[in-house]
Amino acid sequence: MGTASKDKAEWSGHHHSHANTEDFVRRFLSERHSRWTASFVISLVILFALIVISSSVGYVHISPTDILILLFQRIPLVGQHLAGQNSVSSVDKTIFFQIRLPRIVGAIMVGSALAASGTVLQDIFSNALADPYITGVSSGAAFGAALSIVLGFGSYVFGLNSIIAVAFVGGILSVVASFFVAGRNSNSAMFLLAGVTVTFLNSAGVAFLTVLAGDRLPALVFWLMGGLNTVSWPVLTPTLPVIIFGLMGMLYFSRDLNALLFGEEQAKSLGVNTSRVKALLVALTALVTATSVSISGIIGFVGLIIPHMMRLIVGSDHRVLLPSSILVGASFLLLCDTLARTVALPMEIPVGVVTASVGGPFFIYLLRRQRRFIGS
Amino acid sequence: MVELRIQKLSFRYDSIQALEDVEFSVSSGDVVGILGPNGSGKTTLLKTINRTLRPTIGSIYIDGANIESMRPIDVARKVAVVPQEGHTNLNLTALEIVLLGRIPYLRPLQPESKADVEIARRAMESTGCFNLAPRRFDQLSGGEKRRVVLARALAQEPRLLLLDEPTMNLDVNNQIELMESIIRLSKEMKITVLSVFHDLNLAVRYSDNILLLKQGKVVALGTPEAVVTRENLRTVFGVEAEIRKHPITRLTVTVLSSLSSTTREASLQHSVASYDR
Repeated sequence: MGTASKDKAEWSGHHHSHANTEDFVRRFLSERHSRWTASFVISLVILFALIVISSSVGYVHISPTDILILLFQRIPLVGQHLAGQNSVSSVDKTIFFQIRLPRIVGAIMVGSALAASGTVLQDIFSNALADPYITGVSSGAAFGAALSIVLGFGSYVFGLNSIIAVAFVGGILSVVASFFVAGRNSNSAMFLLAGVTVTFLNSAGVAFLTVLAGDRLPALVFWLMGGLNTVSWPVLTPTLPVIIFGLMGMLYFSRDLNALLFGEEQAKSLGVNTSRVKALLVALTALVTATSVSISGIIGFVGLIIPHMMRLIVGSDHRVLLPSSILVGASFLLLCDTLARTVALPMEIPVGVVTASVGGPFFIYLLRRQRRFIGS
Repeated sequence: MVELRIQKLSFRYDSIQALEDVEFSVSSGDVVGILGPNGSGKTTLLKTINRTLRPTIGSIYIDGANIESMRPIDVARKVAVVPQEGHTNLNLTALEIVLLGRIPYLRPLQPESKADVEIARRAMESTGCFNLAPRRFDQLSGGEKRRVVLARALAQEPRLLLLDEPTMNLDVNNQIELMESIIRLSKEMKITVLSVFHDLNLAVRYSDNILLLKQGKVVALGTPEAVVTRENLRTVFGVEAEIRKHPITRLTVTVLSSLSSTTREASLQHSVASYDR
């Protein structure tokens, strides 16, 4: 009886005083603002710390202070104060700028691209198991790389960077093929199936080329295992702008991604042009993923798990989820790559092994804290 | 004042004529219940009005404007749909869910203003779920979730509200509470409501007018007393029913038996047997 009348009061709605509501609105907005800013700042700090640590460790150890000096010397205003400092040896300087920094930037790029793509694809297909590769990109890039390594495809056109270029083209063509296989008015499930089909075809191609590989086999296998050791400034110059553009494009659609949280029909009733938005977002993820795979091979786990992790920590609102996924994806891959090249010196562990080994247990811990099964 | 006018609406899907020559008008603030057997085109009708589907022929006018000529975002500011199910991969509070209803009023990277949050708050109060604001949406009960998604639709400040079986999966108490809220809001805020019902009694009790569909065609449109008759239930649903006036619920519809011969005899036998006990 008591509960029933309480429910009655709730249903008919009780009216707060004017002062209370002003208060509530202000409190909600400022609390959310601080929460979002805090997560952003914390992620940036972690990323910066990792950049410094990663720069200093390796076969040659450079002290973190030296790293900081080298970094800040490049910044216009602050650099003036440090201009006099010549304490860092030129060997260390070369190692940092020519070898470590490009690799670090590469890890940040690829980590951001994969995490952002995973977040976007999971939410436009309402599928918790989606990762950046489901559109067929990675298998296409692998097929392209195999064609380049084994048969020399593209060396006339692209010269030294032919593997990267052909892999990129292969990735993009695969996604286009998925669109064609799925057909004009396909729904999410059909498109995903098309991606799976294209992936099977590409994998068959790679397998065939593996048989033909002969003495090119080690090169092919290493490419397939994935790694950031081939990243250098000439590689980054064309690819970095592409990834930045792609990430900015995805961030622009944060509001539409929020609308899609309740499904396509709901998003339409909120005024979103869903077919156009979905197509554009798939294209953007394809672009950044193809770029990433062509320079780093296929690195798993990041695109699948980082989005789920960030949803648990910052929530499903894409205005905070996407930037967080980007920063944490970057940090995570940077951490894993640093471990990959330092824990078993002088050998390198494939970075994909590290991403799974580090991320797996941590994610299990997060899941158990939530005690919730993540399923679609 | 919103007037909804449907003109010669037809929708063809492959070889199925889901809707044929549907025409009707609804005046502002009315609650119209849509009734019909499975496959009669009720959901298809709602989908053409909220622009999920494009009609093969025909036009839909809201306030005199053809919705085909309106931008999706302008339609979103007039028409709101209350969804049935939600996505489960959601880590959002109930308030954040309601704020999604403000999307048609925000530019891509524009954050919500104080006014937006205030509108969301009022929407939650009017559906009695404001106390759930800080709670995580996917931890709420079915009835609570339904109130929150209704608030989300109201946050769009719509003139027309579309519902597809709003009481599905709700217990009897929540069913009544939800429908009474919808009626009250419709009258208070002059929102026109179009709701698909499977439950004849709920439809009759809470609708000002009923639209009866069969195989994509309009069979009747009028007050519950005029439309829900024994004859109509026979021809449209193929059931024998008893209809009585009721001081509170307006009409009580009791479905007695199906008109297909085998089940009819069985159900009559079953009823007689239970009386003897």
